[in-house]
Amino acid sequence: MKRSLRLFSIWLFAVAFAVSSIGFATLASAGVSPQEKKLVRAAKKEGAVTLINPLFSDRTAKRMQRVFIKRYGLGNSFRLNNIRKGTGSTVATVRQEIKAGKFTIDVHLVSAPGFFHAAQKKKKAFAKLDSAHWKDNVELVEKAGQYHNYPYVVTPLAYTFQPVWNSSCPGMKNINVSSYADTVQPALTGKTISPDITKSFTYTNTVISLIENGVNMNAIWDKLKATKPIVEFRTEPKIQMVIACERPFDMHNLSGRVYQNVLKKPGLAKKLKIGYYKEGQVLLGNQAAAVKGGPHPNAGKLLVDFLLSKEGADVFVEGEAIYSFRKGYTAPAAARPYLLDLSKHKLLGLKDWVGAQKKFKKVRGEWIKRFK
Amino acid sequence: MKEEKNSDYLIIENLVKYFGDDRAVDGISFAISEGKFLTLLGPSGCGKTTTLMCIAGLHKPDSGEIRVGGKSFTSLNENIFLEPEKRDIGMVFQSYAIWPHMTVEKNISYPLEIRNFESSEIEDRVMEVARLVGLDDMVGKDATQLSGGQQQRAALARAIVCNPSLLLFDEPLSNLDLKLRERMRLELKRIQNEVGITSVYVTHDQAEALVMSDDIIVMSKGKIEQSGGPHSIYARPVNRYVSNFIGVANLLKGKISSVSKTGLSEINISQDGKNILMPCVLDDKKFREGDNAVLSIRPENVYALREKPEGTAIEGEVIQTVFLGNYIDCRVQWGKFEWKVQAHPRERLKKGDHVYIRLDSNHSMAVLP
Amino acid sequence: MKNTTTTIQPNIEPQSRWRGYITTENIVTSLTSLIIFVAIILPLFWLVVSSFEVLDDMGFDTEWGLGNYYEVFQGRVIRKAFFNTLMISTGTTVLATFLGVLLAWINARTNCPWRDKIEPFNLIPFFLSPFVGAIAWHNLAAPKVGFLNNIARAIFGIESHIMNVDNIFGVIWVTGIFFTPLVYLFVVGSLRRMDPSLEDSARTTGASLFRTTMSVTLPLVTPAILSGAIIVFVTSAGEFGVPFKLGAPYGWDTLTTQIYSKAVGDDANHYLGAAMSMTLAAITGVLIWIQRRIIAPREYTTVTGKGFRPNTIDLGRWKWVALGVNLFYIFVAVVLPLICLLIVSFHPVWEGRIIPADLTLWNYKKILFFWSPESIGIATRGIINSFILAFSGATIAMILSILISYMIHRTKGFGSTMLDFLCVIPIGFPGIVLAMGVLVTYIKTPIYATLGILLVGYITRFFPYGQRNISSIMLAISEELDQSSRMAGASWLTTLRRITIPLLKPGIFAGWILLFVIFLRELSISIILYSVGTETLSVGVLYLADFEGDPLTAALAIVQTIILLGCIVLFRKVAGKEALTA
Repeated sequence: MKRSLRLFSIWLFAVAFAVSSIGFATLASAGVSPQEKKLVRAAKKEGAVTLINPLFSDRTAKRMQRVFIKRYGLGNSFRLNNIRKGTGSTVATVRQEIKAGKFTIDVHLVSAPGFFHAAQKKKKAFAKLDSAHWKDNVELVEKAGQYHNYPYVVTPLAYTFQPVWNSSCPGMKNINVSSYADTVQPALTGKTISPDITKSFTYTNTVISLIENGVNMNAIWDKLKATKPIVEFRTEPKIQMVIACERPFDMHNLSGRVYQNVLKKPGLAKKLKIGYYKEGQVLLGNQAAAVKGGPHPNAGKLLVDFLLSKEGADVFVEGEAIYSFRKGYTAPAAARPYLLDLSKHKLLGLKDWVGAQKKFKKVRGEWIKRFK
Repeated sequence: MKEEKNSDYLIIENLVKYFGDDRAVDGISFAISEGKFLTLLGPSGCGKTTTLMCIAGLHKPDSGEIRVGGKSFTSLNENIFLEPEKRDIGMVFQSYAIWPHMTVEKNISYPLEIRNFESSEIEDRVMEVARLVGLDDMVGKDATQLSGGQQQRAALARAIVCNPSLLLFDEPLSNLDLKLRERMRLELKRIQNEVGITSVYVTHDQAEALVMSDDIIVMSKGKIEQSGGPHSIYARPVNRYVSNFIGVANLLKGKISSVSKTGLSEINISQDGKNILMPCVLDDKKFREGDNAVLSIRPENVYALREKPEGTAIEGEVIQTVFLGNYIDCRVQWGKFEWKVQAHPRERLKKGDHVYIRLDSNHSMAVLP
Repeated sequence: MKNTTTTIQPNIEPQSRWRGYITTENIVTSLTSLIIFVAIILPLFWLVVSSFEVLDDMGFDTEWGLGNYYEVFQGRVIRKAFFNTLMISTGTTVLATFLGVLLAWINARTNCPWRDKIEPFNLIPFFLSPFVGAIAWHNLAAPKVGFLNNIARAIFGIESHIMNVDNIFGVIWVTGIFFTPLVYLFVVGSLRRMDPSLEDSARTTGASLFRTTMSVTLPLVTPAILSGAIIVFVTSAGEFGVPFKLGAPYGWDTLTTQIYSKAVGDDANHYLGAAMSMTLAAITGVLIWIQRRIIAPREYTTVTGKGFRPNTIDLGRWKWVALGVNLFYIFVAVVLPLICLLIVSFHPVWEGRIIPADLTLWNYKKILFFWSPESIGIATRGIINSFILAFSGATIAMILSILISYMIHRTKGFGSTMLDFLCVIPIGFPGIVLAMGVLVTYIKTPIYATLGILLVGYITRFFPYGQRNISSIMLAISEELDQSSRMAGASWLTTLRRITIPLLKPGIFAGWILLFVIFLRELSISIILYSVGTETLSVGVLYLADFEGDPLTAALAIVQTIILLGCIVLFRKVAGKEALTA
């Protein structure tokens, strides 16, 4: 009896060793850092991770799950749950959970510096990270004037609002937009979609950044009003209006939206034009943090680090045509036509992302006076 | 009242039931012998139905006791309140309450099914009571196909099918037309006789009460006015309310002028400034001289004569006659008072005739005002 | 025979009251009232309390004050939303009442051809999602690319458009045609039950047909019309999907769209949202009160309950006009939107015109073939979740409805009045408002982020609809039917099972179907309460509209509509024609 038990334990040990060394081998081959390795076993045990964000489509999320599992050897039963809600909805959900002390979310990824700052400062809401890849990101993040609060809140990616128009619609053939002055040209009367800044952090931050950098938004708005724009905030419904020629010009949309619609119908590539603003492109960094108290704490931290890694960047850049802050990063070919060469553009950030929130009321008040 | 062997089969003691601040039943007590048919009689709102509901257990009284066959159904003092389904009572409702989603047979067999009878026995019992109530050819029909009278019979069959310890009727005939109602009275009585179940019957129809009951309790405003057999209630009402409610009566206000323990007493009726002494029966009512009283006398005990009778003469003029076949309903004006008289057709009274009123003094009752 | 007529004062010992009260009946009914009380009062309580908390700029700390109400009445955007809501509700009420009464009159009282066959179709919009209707009508009548405008331009050679639904009138138009059946249902019953001699006697005085209709028929059903109109007003004030699609993007925010953006928008502020909710609830509350206390009691005084078969009015040649009205309504409310959505859903990307070369079933593959790598999980999850919620929600809500109706109509005293009152409250609260209360009430419980919290939200908001169905029948059923079962020896539970419930069966089934369909298309509660894996059909439609574009949205909207229509057809087969008609 005793003997067989000993035999059994030896056997068990051997199997465990074999399994772990195989695991080791896969991890090592993918260039996984020691910090990540520390999390892998616990993450695997947790079996899942839940990410809330406004960006990742089903397609991107599925690919991310595949790459995430493969990179860390988490096993095919591991699940990456992706909840995609509007920017504000993600914030509202996570804020509610933090307030109630009841968690279903592990990782929050969104552009809302004010929220991340307040949540960490007032509620100590986020887990402390020990990221191997942050050092590859931090330089560009800071250079681009983005908010971060490492080791709690990191900034793995960013997007920027660009003018988008449909050149195939009536009267759009000769339109070209490369400055805010272009957006208010009389030829665009009745054709423009203007962002509803009262319903969005990111539009408001964009406006505040422009004002900080000397752009007279009030004057632009006055002229804009004369072109009878409609006001909407959700980027997909806006791009639908652009595609359908209902409103062929949108001041602030995402190149990723164009990219995804071109994927559905390649012929659109020729029709949809993406411009830029020479006054400056405001880069909107998306913060990521692992929620303290989340149901899968280790997998959560691992996912945040993954978003900072090259493999992670490849997935979301390829999927959504957004920007990674990794130093020396080259975007996958498919997404490249939709990304600006940041080195050739004037990039704007905010002096104080957290403090900007206090300016919301005033800026929005100016806007409301004209458009509501 | 005769004492019988089982005279206290159903006992109600000091029953009180409030609806809000309103005392619907105001401390009533009575008892009834096994196998008897008791009627609670009174106008709507007198508390008769509430009393019945308390017996059934559908209302919970605020105080009092209810016992049936020695078993306590309700005793507020002892914290006893038996749920209605545990009382083993059959009940026929005013609306019959025949379940429209079942066949006649299912309606009748329901109490047996609840009691888990064998299916063969259920069938036998159902047929037996169906025959008893005269519905044997209707059992397979849907309940909705029954006429009012048939529903009534089905409801009765359902109430008696499992030989309950008590049978309750809540104005069961009030929704039938007159002809059918008169027929059903006798039928109900016959069936009750046959099954011999002690019954409590609620009605506002005094004729129904008189025809069917062994005992009648006349109620008003939550209290018992009088109880007794139909004959004694009719012939010997205790007060003005009862004599007015049961049948028709000539009622004259007066004062007791002399009290006799053995024979007839006298009441002083004051009419048109004149005082007339009339003989009357006091029964065991504790009148003393000078007490206010009401003289109550039924029209059939009043005679309108063409010739002046002996003794006190009451003169009047016939102001209305209605020929009703076996008698003439006749009104005689006497000062301000109008006598109701049942005259024999051979008297041939006509409007305008001058007549003398004579009272049958053995049926002249002095009652409480 | 003994008799004593002594009067005694009731001498009730305190403890004697209690022991008799521990019965199945009392336990079950007390528990139910407790559940209902908690379910309705807790979220409400939270809403009231939080409307007095003012959120600071950082979004985590609050202080007590009236700041939110100040904001509601002084803030330009919210004040405007408030007036927009009133205008939309008024407009919708006028439109729906006009159409509803006209259609009810045509189908109940005239010899309009084929009216028996047409009638069920008139009710279809009631069972469909107004949000889907809004999506469809946007594609039909957006000024530049709407189908109808394109067609008009092609035919008449005009430059501009003939119709534009991207504004307050569009919201009124779509909400109005979708709520028409509400008025219809209220009025058609009264018209059918009306004693024809009332009209006949008017005709004998020499009044013309038209005059009789205007001076006798319609005034007689006025209480029913008013009831229907108030319900429409209240429901449209709480409607979220239509103004979200057709109003808010074009500068016509309503209270619901503003509350939505306060609940889940960027500057989420539940507290301000709660204050706005209170304002909305106050409007609807007053109207519901008027309907219940003043109008509803008059409803049947002139209209007898007897089963008359009123004589129909011969319209002569005008009957073809009546038929035209019927068909026109079905066309604009059902056929046209469906055709439009079908067309859009067959394109990979909607470019505002039909491109024959592009036609594809790809979108349906994406939302239905959940095993394919391109599938969008939210669509299939939404279908499955909505079925689970509709089935279990309708069942639980009907069980509660039976118990509550029983308590209201079969037990007396303070409790039943209280329950009756409680059951009106959820009707006065728009779904989006109630959902916010539900969310905060249950966030710390295990049902948070599960289908459970959606279920609780659905049931709390909608069980009064089922309860109404049951109550109206229970009022018509004599209490003696229950009592006679107790007398026959059956316990309370047996009586409920064998007598009460079978008698209520038609009402239970009708109520169940109604709730099932409502739950299948529910949007405004779901949008606040859903989480990962608990998306519903309408959430799926909204998600696709937000993130995946018009064709996929249209495809899922078509799937939802087909499911709803399928359920209606199936239930009519199972339950007979009465199930879904007046």
